[in-house]
Amino acid sequence: MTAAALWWSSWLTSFAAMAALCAQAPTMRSRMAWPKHSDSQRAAIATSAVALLALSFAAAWRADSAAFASVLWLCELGAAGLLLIIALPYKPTWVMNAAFISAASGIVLFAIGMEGQ
Amino acid sequence: MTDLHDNQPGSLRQAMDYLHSWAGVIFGALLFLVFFMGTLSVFDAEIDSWMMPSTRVAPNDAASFDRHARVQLEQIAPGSRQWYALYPTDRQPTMRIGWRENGEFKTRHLDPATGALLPDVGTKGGTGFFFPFHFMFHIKWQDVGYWLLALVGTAMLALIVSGVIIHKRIFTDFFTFRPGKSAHRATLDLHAACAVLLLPFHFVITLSGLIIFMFIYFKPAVALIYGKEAPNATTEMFKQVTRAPAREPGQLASVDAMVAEARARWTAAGMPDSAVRNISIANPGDKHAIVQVLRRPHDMMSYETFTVYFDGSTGAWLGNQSLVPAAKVQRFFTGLHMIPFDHWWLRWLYFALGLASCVMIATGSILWVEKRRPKHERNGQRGYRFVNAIGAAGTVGVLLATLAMLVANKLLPLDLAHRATIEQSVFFAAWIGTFAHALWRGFAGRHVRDLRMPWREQAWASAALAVLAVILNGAMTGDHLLVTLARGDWAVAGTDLMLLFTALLAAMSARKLAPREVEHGAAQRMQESSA
Repeated sequence: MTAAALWWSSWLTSFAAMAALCAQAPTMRSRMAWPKHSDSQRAAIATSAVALLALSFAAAWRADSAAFASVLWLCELGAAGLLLIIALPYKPTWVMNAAFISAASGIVLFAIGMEGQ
Repeated sequence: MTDLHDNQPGSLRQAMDYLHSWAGVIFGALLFLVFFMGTLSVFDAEIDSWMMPSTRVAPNDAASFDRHARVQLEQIAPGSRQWYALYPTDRQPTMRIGWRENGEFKTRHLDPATGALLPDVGTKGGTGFFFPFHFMFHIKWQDVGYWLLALVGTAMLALIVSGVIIHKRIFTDFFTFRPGKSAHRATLDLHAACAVLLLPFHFVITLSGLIIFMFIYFKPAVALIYGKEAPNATTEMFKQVTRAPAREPGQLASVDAMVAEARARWTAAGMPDSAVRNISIANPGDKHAIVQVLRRPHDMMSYETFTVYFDGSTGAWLGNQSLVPAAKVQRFFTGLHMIPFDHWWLRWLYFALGLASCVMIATGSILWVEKRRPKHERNGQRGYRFVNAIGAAGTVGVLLATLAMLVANKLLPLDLAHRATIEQSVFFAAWIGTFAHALWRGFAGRHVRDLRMPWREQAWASAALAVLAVILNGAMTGDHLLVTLARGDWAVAGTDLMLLFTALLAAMSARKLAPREVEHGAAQRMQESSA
């Protein structure tokens, strides 16, 4: 149960991290016709993306050993990124909402997983 | 991408573009084969269960070499120079015994609860067909299959490096996918996305694949250094315990007792949660028989089996396997590639990324043809149609042939002589048929200008075959989806569900590849817009 919560946390936060990286990219904002961000807003999104990436790796590490965590994390990022870019052109609002939900639930599951260990 | 007849490339990017294009077109079909079969091999045990209905037994922890495997081996192969027993796991619930007979290695499945011999499965299944296809193309002669894999793997590494260099805005376009733009742009975006996002996976899986077979690739060097004693190289690298047969009859001691001692030794070495992967016995009827007990690497990345060696006649401990550093590195990369450990999430991720790699290779093939089509048509050349045929047969054709084999698995009578060979022949016949079909569509008939036709028709055929395979599994075995789901038989249910998902994807792809005969002007504009 604890490991499952951490694995899910790792996956959800990796998806949220990739979405945040996408959202802070000026070219993507232009292509998706999203409102422009100020430099500080962009920095904040980029920082949250990095934090989510770190959380994703930490969750994978706590669920398994460091060796498994590295492999799992890289695979999750690749899969999450692909899922994001394929879904984004068709349902941008759904994808971004899903990213917010993933971030929130990923953090909660990480807390649950750490509590159980 | 640079055409063969253009001026010699000047800049590094032009040179890498040239390399990427031509390495891709030459090795694309073989690369797809390797990645597709490798992706299937992630779930080879589950495919075995689907293709071998007689092995759908309940998991059981009571498997015993002495009470089960030995009884059968003494009846089937009393004089064999090698006995082998693979213990059951959650993924492979039967006990599998093996022996050498007339230079061949033969296997049968046992019920793990009773030790009874299960009916001959009559198929090679996932572990016997798709997995070996992945790493040696079923070409055993003089290790040619392994060397071909080395060539393909090296080409893949060259494709990875050259692809990174030619991708002009690799970070800016990191998340770019524009399906609403032209088909060419969308295909290029998909190709780049699959390549860039999965770059670590591609690099590691390719490099580790080459490292796994380093003992084959280093044979010439080993022969140079060791000369006539070349077989000693492996013995030294893995610190194996070997000895020549005594040529005197001997009685095999209790192997279960040896297993118990091996487990105790692994526990003492700091590995308390140890299970046996397999037993291998050299010269079982000889006084100098050697029993190897291998640990299942279910809890670590490295594919190390911590083999314990025993004297077959007395049961005395002879030694433990001890790897030299180079062998440890090789075992680590082997584990990284083959995922022998218990980790369902990672296993599914490897499967998904493997499929995405197949998409990358297929889109690359399409891009090569679409790019050259306008110029070739202007010059009256038809080479692009041949490459298109190879691309279609080498990608969708492989899928179609695989599904045809699964359908044949359900239709061929179980008591048919040489059933496994006939089943494999269906695969190769279907594959050749897809190539013939693609050539026919490219060079004859009214639709030669519709390059998508062979892809589309083979995709529709694949969708139909995938659905048929699911229906036949239910009809011929009684284990249709509702039954297997209720029973919790996720191996068979999961395979059926993946087949249905495959049908859905194939049908969607076929619809996406709707008829579109490109006019010359439009093709020219396409080429200019992607420059």
